Amino acid sequence: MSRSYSVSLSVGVTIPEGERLKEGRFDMDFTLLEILSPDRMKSILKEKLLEKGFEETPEGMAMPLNDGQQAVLDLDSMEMQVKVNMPEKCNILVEGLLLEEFQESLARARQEGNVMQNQRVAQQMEIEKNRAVNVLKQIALKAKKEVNLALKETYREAIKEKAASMGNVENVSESKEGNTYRIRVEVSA
Amino acid sequence: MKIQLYPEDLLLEYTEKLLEGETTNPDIKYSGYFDAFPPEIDFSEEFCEKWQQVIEPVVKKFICDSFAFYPFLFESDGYTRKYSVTDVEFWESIDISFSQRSALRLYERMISDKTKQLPDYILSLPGDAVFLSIATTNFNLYSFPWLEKNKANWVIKALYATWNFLNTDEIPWEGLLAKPKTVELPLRGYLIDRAAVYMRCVNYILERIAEKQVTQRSELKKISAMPGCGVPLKLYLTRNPDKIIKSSNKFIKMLEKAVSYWTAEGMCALDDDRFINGVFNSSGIKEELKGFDEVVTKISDTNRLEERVDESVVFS
Repeated sequence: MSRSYSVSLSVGVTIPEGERLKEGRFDMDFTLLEILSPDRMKSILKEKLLEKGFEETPEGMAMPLNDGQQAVLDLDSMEMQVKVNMPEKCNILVEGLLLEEFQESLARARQEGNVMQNQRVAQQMEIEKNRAVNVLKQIALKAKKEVNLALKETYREAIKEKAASMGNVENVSESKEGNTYRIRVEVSA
Repeated sequence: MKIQLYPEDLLLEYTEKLLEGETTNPDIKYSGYFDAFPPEIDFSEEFCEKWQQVIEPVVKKFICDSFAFYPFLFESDGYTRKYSVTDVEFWESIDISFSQRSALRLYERMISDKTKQLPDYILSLPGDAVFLSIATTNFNLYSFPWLEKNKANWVIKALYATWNFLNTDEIPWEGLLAKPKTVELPLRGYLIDRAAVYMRCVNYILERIAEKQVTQRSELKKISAMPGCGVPLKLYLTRNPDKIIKSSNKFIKMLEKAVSYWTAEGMCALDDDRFINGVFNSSGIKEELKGFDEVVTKISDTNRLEERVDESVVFS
């Protein structure tokens, strides 16, 4: 008795620029407390971010990421923009039995000078969107963690600098209780 | 050829196999003849005496192995003392009775393939229950409400609190904390230590969830227990933090209320509040509770951020 097999073929599809989603984007806000002057606070924060491997770009401080991914913090607005580029091409699986129909659809589109309308392509675009959202979440979590660490270090330095301006710093101690982090600076006048 | 078989002898052989670890279908030489065995049995006096000689050492050894050198708190002439299984005072304080019901339940289990009926385990004394749990390696056979209703002593409850298998949404012995007045002094300190181990397990699981490292639900985590007690706590990992967070929050409230009672109006001796506080401080439970708050905050922050991404991501 013969068996029938269902074969799926991977077909590479170039998504036309007009149809393509170029990027997925998400914005996050951070707060920078003014323990010292705004300019001084930004300067310390920039230092701390550079120490963590961030790069200074015209748009702001960029977190090191893979190609096609961006997380840039604008120090003036304290807004971080996270972006993920969408692919220009994608592979879709076409079942062997439907390959002929797929080829006919492609030939028709070429003849008419139109973009090929295909449900599989639309489904694949949706998959790419969801993938982009997951990557955005991962980058957002990582960026939030990195920036919050940098902010903590910034505040530590700013508090010491502020205390030094008030008198002689005798002692600095740090403690953590639950989710509260405390820095205690003892100053003699 | 005629064979003369005595169900009592086969039961002893069956029990021996169970205690050696063959808990599923022990290989008994003449098990093919179980069809001829009666569904109910009256044991001989000789067998009953032999049975007592089998059970008692097994249970005593099991108690020693379970608690090792753990120092339980006892009241003695109004003051608090610490005794472990190495002290005669420990053994003098406990009285465990055994009956032939454990033999009957194991007999029922032995021929259950033929009768198609499982043993009625609840027809036992608490001492029998311990032996049956040891033999079948199942400490979830008996519930804590059953143990309390049948007036199980504190060491039996401690054994069950030690060996119960836990799910993430229920701690079988948390009901004891709901009635702190009924908890005997030796069990109080022990439950605090056990609670610390449980929270350590919970925090481990939640940290994994927070770091997105839980991929398979079936991973089992064993956490080494407190010093002086050799039994690790086993808990399945989960991908869903909500249940475990909810049940842990409930558990923590009950524990804090119980400890508050034990160190105030529920004192048993003149100074046991000091010892209970000492156990609370040395068990690590305070650190675990702090850790729990931190990791729960981490998880909710992550969930909030992910929800924001879902709601406000822009595609262009």
